[in-house]
Amino acid sequence: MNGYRQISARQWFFISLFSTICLTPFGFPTTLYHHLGHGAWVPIAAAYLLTIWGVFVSIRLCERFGKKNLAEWAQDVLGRWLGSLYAIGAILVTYTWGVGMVYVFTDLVTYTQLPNTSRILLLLFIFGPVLYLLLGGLEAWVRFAEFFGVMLLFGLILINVPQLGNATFTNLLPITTAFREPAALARPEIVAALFVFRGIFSIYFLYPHIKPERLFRWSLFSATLAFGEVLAAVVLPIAVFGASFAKTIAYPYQESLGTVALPWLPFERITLLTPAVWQLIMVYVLCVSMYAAAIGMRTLLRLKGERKERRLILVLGLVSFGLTLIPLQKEMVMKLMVYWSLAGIAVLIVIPTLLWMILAVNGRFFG
Amino acid sequence: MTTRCFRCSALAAMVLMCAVLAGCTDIHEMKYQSFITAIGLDRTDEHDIKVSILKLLFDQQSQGLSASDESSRQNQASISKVVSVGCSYFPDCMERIRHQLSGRMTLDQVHYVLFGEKLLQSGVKPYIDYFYHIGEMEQTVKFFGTDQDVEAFMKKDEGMLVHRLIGGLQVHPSVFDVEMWEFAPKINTALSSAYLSLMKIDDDQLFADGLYLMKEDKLGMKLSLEDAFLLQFINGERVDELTFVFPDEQLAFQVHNYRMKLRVTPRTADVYVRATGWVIGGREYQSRTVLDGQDEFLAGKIEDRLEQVLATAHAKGIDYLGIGEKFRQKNWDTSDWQSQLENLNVNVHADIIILSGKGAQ
Repeated sequence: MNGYRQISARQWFFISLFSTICLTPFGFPTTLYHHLGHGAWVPIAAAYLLTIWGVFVSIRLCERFGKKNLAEWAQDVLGRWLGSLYAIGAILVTYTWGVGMVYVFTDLVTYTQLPNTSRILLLLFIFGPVLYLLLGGLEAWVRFAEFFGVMLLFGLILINVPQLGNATFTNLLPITTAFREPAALARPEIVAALFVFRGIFSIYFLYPHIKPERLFRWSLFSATLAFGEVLAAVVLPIAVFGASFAKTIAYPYQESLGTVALPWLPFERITLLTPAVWQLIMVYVLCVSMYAAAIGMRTLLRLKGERKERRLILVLGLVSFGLTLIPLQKEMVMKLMVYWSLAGIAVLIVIPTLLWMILAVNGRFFG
Repeated sequence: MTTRCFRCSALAAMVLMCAVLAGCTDIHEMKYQSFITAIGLDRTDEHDIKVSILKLLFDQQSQGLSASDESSRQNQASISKVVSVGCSYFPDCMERIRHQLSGRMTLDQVHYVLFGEKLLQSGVKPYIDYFYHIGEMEQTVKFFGTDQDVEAFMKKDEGMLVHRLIGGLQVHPSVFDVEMWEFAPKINTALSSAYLSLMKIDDDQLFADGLYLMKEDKLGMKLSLEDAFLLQFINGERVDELTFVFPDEQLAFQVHNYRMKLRVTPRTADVYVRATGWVIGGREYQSRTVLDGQDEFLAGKIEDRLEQVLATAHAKGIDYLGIGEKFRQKNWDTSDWQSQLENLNVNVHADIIILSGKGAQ
């Protein structure tokens, strides 16, 4: 956490891509099918447009404040107390995102692949490498992310493309279904879906460490690829099973992966790939979430020196580990994630947009 | 604390945590697992559920079988064993089977599920829901039906016949390749009907003996092998070696290539079938002039038979073509779909192109 521009925009692309994809393919689709049927893709498309706007605003705002992260410039703009309060909100959203996703991940792996494996072992396999990477510093874990990024991209292609053979895309018709009942689109669960591409908003904390050349272009590319993957996760189960059946399954995307057998591959079933792919993605998510939260907390607590920063990360990691040991039902986690998403939209999209507009109108900071 | 010391303690803490806190529970080695390769489901005359499973045997287990075990008595080299139980509630049956097995029941190696006719008549939804709920079976498990005794079928099968058939399914025109993920969505809707191949084992030989058409999750009607064969034209799956026999005319039509298109309006459904192939008959069919006259005759025959099969199915509320699904996609009214289906005018338009005999060579 030296404060100099350590990582390139391309490296940012890899960490933002996989942390933005996150575990969304497994968490949200069932809720969307319940409320919107085969029109479930609509909130995802809307979320993508909102994310592009959010990324534009975040980069413009961060550009104005140069080498300051959100916790620093919030205090400059909103004053010490209000700024700190806003920063705490943003830190909490970023930190609890990682913890929530660990719950979804352990539930998914236990349910689909490793029913007899102890939950604590899964958590150790996640938190062990994450803490090891984070304690090595930003450059260390970003190099890891870049190295495995290309492999993960191939993994995602291998997971999605074979499903096209079983897909019937006319299942998505009529295209206007989602708009027939506008009230359904206003439900909290659907509005929460607008925040599915949340990983990319960690830029508010990581911006001072990223080289600014072509940053918007790489961010846009990352958001677009993440949108492609999440859209595939929502659309493919409908195309394979139909929306009315897909909504009855606990993890529709995982089940639609299971409809493909590739006898020419050594492992035949692509479902075997998913725990490996999503364990890696989980490492990305936790690294981004905990590191971004640590940067924010370091600023608020006025901690200086690498040793203190390492200790902060260690404490955050152990607290996360402890929190994820608490057994919670999947339904409860999903409910919490809905309210968390609404808070996320307010803190990381609405408030920055208002700030950017006020600053633009004010003219003092308009660039 | 120096960095070196910190790293050492972190490493020691991780190893300690792995040793103390973590632990694999319920480890089952291969030899302590019972691999199930097939499940048979039927109902008894007392309306109870009868579940039979085909369990693979490892060498040691095979040798250790008691002499009273019927399935292994006839064949010392038997590699499978059938276990059957009866109950009134399906999960109870599975629980009883679990207790009867020497190892842990493993369902991820199941190759096929066989439904008895009585069970099909009473509805299959609870069983499919159970399979999805336990989440252990693969989506690509094949589904078949039979009118024979399920337990007897599986004993004769011994894990070999259907397994061989599944391996060669792509080129077998009599069998409709139905996997769990294709079957399950259709039993939950009236807008598109599921189907199952009817299988039989006679004299240790496996036969496809027709087709079961489902009306939602219950058996709607049974088709003969000839009619089932005809439905391959509109099944969507590409199969080789489709040959239609016309005994009265003493000729057969061997299909080389075919495709189907379905067009629906609110009142009609038009099925367009286009097929190219060869006429197999006596010497008189070697002449091109004679062959030229046969295409309309064959088209008429195929149109009549297909229309008849589809009309019978529609009268029973079976939507084999998935016309209801097309209606839903077009946002047309699908309420009271069964009565709509009965009144729908279905026309089949066949376009047959006969290739010269040399093409067949």
